[in-house]
Amino acid sequence: MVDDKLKKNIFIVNFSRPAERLIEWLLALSASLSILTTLTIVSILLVESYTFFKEVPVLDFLFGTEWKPLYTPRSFGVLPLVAGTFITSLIACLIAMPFGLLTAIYLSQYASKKIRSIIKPLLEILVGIPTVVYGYFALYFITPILKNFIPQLNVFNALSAGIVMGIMIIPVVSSISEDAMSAVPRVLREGAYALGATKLEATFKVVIPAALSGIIASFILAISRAFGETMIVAMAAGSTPVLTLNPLQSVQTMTGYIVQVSLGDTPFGSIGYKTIFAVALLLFLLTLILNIIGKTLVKWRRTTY
Amino acid sequence: MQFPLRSSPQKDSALKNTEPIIKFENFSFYYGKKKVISDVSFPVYKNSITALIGPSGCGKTTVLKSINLLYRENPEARAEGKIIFEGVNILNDKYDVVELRKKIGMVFQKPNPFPGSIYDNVVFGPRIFGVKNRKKLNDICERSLKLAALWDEVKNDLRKSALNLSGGQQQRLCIARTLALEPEVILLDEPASALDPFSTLKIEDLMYQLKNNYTILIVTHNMQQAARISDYVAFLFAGEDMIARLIEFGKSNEVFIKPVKKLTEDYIVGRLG
Amino acid sequence: MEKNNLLVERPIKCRIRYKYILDKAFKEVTLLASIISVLILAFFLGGIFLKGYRWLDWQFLTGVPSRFPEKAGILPALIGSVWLVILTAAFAIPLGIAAAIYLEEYSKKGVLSDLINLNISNLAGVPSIIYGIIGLAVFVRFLAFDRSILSGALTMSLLILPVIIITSQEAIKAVPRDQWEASLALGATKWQTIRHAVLPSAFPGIITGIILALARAIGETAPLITIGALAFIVNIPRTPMDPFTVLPIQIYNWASRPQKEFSEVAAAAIIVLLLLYLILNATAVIFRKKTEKRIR
Ligand SMILES: Nc1ncnc2c1ncn2[C@@H]1O[C@H](COP(=O)(O)OP(=O)(O)O)[C@@H](O)[C@H]1O
Ligand SMILES: [Mg+2]
Repeated sequence: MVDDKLKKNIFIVNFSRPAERLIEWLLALSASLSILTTLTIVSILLVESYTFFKEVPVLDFLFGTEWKPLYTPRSFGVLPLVAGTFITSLIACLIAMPFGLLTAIYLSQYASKKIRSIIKPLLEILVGIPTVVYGYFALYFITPILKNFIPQLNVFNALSAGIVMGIMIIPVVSSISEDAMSAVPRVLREGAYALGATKLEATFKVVIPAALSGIIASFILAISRAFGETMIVAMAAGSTPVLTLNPLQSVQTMTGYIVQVSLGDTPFGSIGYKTIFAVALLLFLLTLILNIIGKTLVKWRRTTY
Repeated sequence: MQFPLRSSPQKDSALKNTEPIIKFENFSFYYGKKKVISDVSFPVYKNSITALIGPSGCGKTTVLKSINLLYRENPEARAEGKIIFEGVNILNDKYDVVELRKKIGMVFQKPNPFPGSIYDNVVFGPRIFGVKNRKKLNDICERSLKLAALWDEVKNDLRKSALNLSGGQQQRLCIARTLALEPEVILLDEPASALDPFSTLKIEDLMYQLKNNYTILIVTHNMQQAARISDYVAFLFAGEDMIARLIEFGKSNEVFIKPVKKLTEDYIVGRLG
Repeated sequence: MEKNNLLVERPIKCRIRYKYILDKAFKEVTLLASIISVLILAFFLGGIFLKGYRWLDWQFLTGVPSRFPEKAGILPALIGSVWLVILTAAFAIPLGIAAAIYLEEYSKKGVLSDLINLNISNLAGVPSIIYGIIGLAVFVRFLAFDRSILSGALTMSLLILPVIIITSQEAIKAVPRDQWEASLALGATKWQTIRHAVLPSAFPGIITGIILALARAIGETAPLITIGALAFIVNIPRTPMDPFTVLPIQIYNWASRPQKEFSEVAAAAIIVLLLLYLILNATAVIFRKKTEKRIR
């Protein structure tokens, strides 16, 4: 059906052929910008890191256990930052994975349409709240509450940053897992019910195994999100690069370190300035690998059923 | 008019047992406000095969899902009237769904093996009813697969994924899975519609074997198949109002040879010719 | 064939009871898990409101940052945020929609368009702070835009472009194609057809995506810190080349100070930020409702 407005418009605005070509070229240019962005990211990280690695051997960077890049005597072992990222992300995952999965189960298996239409937008809002607000939660609410139970807790600590980050990424896990579980064909679930399974049994013995790749994908993408999260850890986890997995202590993550350098007055071109590119390159590669694995799993699930 | 079908003599002998195991009484069904089945009454006799025939969309699947209360998983759906099983109206809310489904198995139109091994599929039912003993599970698995005529093909691959089987094998696996719970009634919803002719014959054969110990209610679109294997036939039809009614019920060798209703005849002939 | 019942019949009844109880309990557990994060959040938001509402007054909205909490205001940060969002929108919206149109309507489905799509979905997953570092190297240093609103907006555009492209693609994909052939049959060119038969229907979906992307831009902090927007700004920015700060950074700044009053001032600024965020989200929800109605 073509309405009159459409008809009129077509005859009024009649482009000539060259204009059509021009438009196509402009559109193509816009699309290619994304490739340019990627190339820029990769080349800048590589070039700046290259000048860094000319001064610091790659192996010293990757496996060194002491991170003291700004004051002499310097040392550039990135492991303490990696440990900081790891411990905060681990705590976040311990919160987000079970809660996210249970939420996905509720939404896909039990909830009525109406309840879904209330809970889902709320979760979406949760994941979009500015992270500086979550950082504030961690620093001014969670840490004081935790201190009541754990007196030796540092003011800045991995635990409360991790917990709040976990709350923030629950929707990442729940929305991808829910998609995967809702995509399990209904006949499969009915097959289980027909054999006398309750919803609980059908969920754990049929739906979850069938949706497993999507669920794992949601976990991996959540980890990636936690690795890259910045403000919560910068505000609540501290800025002490120590090689520890003690969640009660102040730590520093890779992202937290980049913020610290950005806030200071490290001279442009100095070795301290270059460290942020090396750290960023590492972070970029880690999250890229996780994202690729996660997205491949999501796609793979789409083609299996 | 010439009908190429004749019932075989041994089929008649199977009809001596005429005790109904399930009875529909004034059964009606709604999806939301929409009525889809109206006032259906017919019996399902023990240790026999009853075929449910009719054009698509006339509520055959709905009838099957009512017998094992699977329709309850859809909050929109509602049934009225009675379905008597073991002397009780199962539509009564108090009836225990899980116990009922253990006694009434169902095989679906499209094979729906669970992700996991062949073995896991077959012992799914016994496991959720608490059978843990390895030896016992192995016995159940072997017996069910033999009953479903699948044992010889898969006995060396029990640990392999069920999803790698062919369509026909998957469907027989689903039958084995149902048999593992020792049901009294087996509901089959067009079990061969997604399969090649050879697999179809295998499944027909199988039903013939199973009839001695189980009551079978099968939905089929294939009139020849219905005439070949069934003892009784129920013909459902939805008129212009899109509400299905029972047009005819009777012994297969009577209905297929000399239907009482013109509508039944048209349907059967249209399908055959 | 003899039916030998291999199942133990006796315990089945009680086992079933137990199954039902477990099933019911599990349902409640999952429900609880679904709402607990929302409840915790509500608790926090309530806490923040109680902490900060006393500081919310005219002086707070129109004042400039100060060493004294009672004199502190958010005007420069607020104006900075508005500048940033407007400029970001000006860059990212046309580019994003154009790229989406190209990918959905013009590019031949093949290796190249798969590659671009994969690339975009990976860009969407790059941590925001890495965009900040790129912004620092390219816009602040290389193009010498310095620590200006322009640098911030360009950085933010790169960050939200993938989001806008992906959501616009989805919206374009969802448009039913019944008008498409009719329009071509009338002699319309491809672009005219897209312009008049596709884009109007895709519009609400595209807008939804854009608003959500801008909601993200207004709350992003890390990339702006990296490009150096944390100046102690008392002047209202007047041109895109002025140094600037934004609300989230102002919050971060206040929240990092030791005095208790400043943490409360930060809470007040959070209330303002969240209001902006919620308004944008509500608008997106309204547009989405509109899309859903159209498709039905
Ligand atoms: N889940 C459902 N919601 C609403 N209507 C349904 C649903 N399932 C089936 N129907 C309707 O009920 C009627 C009978 O469907 P069904 O039992 O599947 O028929 P058959 O198996 O004979 O093809 C059809 O008109 C169908 O449109
Ligand atoms: Mg059917």
